Amino acid sequence: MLNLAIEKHKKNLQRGLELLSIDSFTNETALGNKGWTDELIIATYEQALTGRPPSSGIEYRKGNRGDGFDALDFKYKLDPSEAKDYDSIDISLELNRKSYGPKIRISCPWYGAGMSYGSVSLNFMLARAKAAQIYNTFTSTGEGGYPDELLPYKEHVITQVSTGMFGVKEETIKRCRIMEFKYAQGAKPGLGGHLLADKNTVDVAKMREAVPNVSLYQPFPFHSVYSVEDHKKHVDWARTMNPNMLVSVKVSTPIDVDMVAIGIYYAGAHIIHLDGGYGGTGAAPEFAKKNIAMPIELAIPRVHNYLIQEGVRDDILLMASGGIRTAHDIAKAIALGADGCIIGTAEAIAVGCTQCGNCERGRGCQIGIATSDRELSQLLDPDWGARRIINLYKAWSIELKRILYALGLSSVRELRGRKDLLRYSGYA
Amino acid sequence: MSPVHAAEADVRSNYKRYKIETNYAPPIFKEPARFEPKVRKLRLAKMLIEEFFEYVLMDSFSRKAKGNLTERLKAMLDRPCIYGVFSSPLGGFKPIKERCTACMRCKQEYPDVIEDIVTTKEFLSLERFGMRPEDVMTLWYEAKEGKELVKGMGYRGSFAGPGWDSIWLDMSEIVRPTRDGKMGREYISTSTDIGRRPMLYSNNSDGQIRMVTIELPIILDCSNRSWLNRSVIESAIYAAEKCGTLVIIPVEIYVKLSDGERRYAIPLIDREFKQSELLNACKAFETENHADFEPLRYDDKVRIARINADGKIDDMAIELVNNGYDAIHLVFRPDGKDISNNYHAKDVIRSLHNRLVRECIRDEISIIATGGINMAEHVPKAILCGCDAVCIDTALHIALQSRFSINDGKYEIRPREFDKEWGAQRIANLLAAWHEQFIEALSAMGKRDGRRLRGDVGRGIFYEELKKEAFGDIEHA
Repeated sequence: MLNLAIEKHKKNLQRGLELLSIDSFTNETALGNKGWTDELIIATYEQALTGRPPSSGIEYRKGNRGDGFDALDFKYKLDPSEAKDYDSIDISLELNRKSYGPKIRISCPWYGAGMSYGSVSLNFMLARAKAAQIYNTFTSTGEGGYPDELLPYKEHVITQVSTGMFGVKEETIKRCRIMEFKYAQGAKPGLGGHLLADKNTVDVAKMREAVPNVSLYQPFPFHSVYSVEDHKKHVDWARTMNPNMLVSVKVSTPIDVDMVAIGIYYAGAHIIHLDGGYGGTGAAPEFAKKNIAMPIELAIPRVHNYLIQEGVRDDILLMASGGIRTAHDIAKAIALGADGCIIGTAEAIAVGCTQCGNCERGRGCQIGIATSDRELSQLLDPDWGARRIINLYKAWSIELKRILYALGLSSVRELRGRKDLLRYSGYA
Repeated sequence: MSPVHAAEADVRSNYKRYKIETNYAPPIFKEPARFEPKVRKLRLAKMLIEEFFEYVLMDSFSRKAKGNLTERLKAMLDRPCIYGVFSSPLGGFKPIKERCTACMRCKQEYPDVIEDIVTTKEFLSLERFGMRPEDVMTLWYEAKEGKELVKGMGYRGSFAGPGWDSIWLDMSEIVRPTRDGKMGREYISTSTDIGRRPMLYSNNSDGQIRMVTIELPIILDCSNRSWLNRSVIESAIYAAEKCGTLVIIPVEIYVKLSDGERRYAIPLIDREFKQSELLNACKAFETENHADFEPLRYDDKVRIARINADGKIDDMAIELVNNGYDAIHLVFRPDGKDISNNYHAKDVIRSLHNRLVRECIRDEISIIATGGINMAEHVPKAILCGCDAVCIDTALHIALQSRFSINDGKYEIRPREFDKEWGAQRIANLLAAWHEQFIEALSAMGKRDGRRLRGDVGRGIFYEELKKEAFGDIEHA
């Protein structure tokens, strides 16, 4: 594609996203699905543009899955849309609950999920990193290594170490404030990471220290970890390299997720990151996405309650991901027992993703998000993308504060585990 | 070479790792386009004129025009689609809808010119016996490519549902015997045994082990006479041979097969059948009329009782075992419900399996299920509930692009005519894709053998149970 053509399309895309509204589509539209409906996608575009929750009457709080978050509502004491004095409500989150180690407080109870270089474009990673820096939260490198372009933002970048150990070097662990072991991912539990051949370009392969143009399938699990004791050694190894960082452990949601969580606690990690079965991915078998492991809504209460029974709930942070779409989902996840959430797909939608599901192809993502193609990557401007993501964060912050205000709470920490504030309308 | 080494070399040379050969088998009847861009042609013309002025005739980006005239013209004509939807000579005036993936980029770039991208009526009409159009497309993909579908984006469907959609499969986070799972060098066995395994050795003539081993727990069910033609039968037999499984066919068709073909067939016979010598080549047979529970006996052939499943089959199953049957084949409706329409296959199978375990005779009879096994995910879920194997009929016909209809509540399938090689490859591709997904489920659990999944409900995540735990203490609206 010519540079002139790229400039034309980039300009059109940025302008077009500002113009789109729900009235731009017909009743037969192919936009959206049960999780991310057409209204939810457009509402996210609107929030990414304005920095405020939508006021047009569009449905921006839930999707159409029929159960889970979409069947939970809050029992408000006041109407959230009429909330006025909510600026003083505290939605910050302290990430280290232990008595040792650095204290890290982020301005909102969420941060960005790992999306690897190769799975997504460098420009999208930069947009996320810029937004994380400006908003005082974090983003994650994902499992594809740590591009040098992220160095200016390293105070807000989580180094992820996955089972394939792609691009894992001592310096990328030493420079970070948080390191995450990724044992599993909700979208493909029990399977390692997938990067299909046409996304494994020369640049991507160089970063991952792998062979280009072949499909990369990571093993499952870590080949050095076959027990909780091995896992503790793993955590100890990381902390030996960088004693000043926090350690997060990302796992999926099997039937014994509570056991897994307590094992993570006793291994000395600071953060348990539960990734539910309905999370996003750059490439995964459709079979695994739907059928293996449980949705996050069912896993959070199980882990939260078990940690309480074991007497350790306040000593470790529980972060939830996998299908977190809105500020309301975040609030519901916290009410079910999480401390905060980790988001991925919502950030992609903020910069124009339409959930078409072509991410696994080399030239599949038409707007430069989930692609390693050099030409297509240029369609996404990092500064523009960062502004969109920051606006989304702002809109969510306002909405979350309104929810807390309407519930009569003064901080997001008071919401944790408050299932009594929820009402369930799912299938009885 | 020493005798020991010679024996080992012999084993090595005869060892063949199970693999289904797949080959691209494109559809011979056109698949409908899923999406269609709706273009406002007058606005398109207006846009083209405007862009011509902006990018070609006038300076647009800055005071200086970039590039030469040819480059600017090319940029102006560069289409907002990487899939070639607007690549015909008429461009947006005649979009190629078959290429559209609903990426929405054209809509994003030109919201006033593109009215919408819609799902086509032809796609929506693909619903088959309660299966969604997307599921039919997935089966077509599997039959064409022989691979499981890998896509970006997260799961896009409902949270859960009735029947098989109320079960998720477990995975094993750390502790697991398979080191690499499906990508690794270790072999995950999917073979299963259909038949009777006596609990005690006996000198009686009925102490025989009547069993047949198939390479994967999927049998082809071609027993419905009105759904058959020559193309389907030949393809199914050939596919069964390729894939190391069996096909159930009516006996009047079975008798016309060669001895070589009969080895892969399970004839469905009735009490009037007397030509026992014709059963020499087959390994198992199936009967429908067994009201007196006395099975037909043909030497060492596995005896299968075919029963329309309802919620009260447990006692019948015990009687069948005691009277010498080796397997029970439960037939459900195409939607997976029993004939009373009260129970889903998952509940009937679980109940039967548990009853046989309590009676200590579980290994003396195999459980096979037909009906409602329409997607690859149903195979591990059915085995987890207690099946030894499943049969496919609807999915087989979808792979063969048969025509579906429902008349007066009765499901009808009209098969087409096609070449045996094509049909067999389509079925083999489908089985290969399902086999791959079955291994994926086993490897996620850390299991090395599909037999170990049978009845292992501890490795299932059941929606009804977990919902009570997660939301049971929340006020209901």
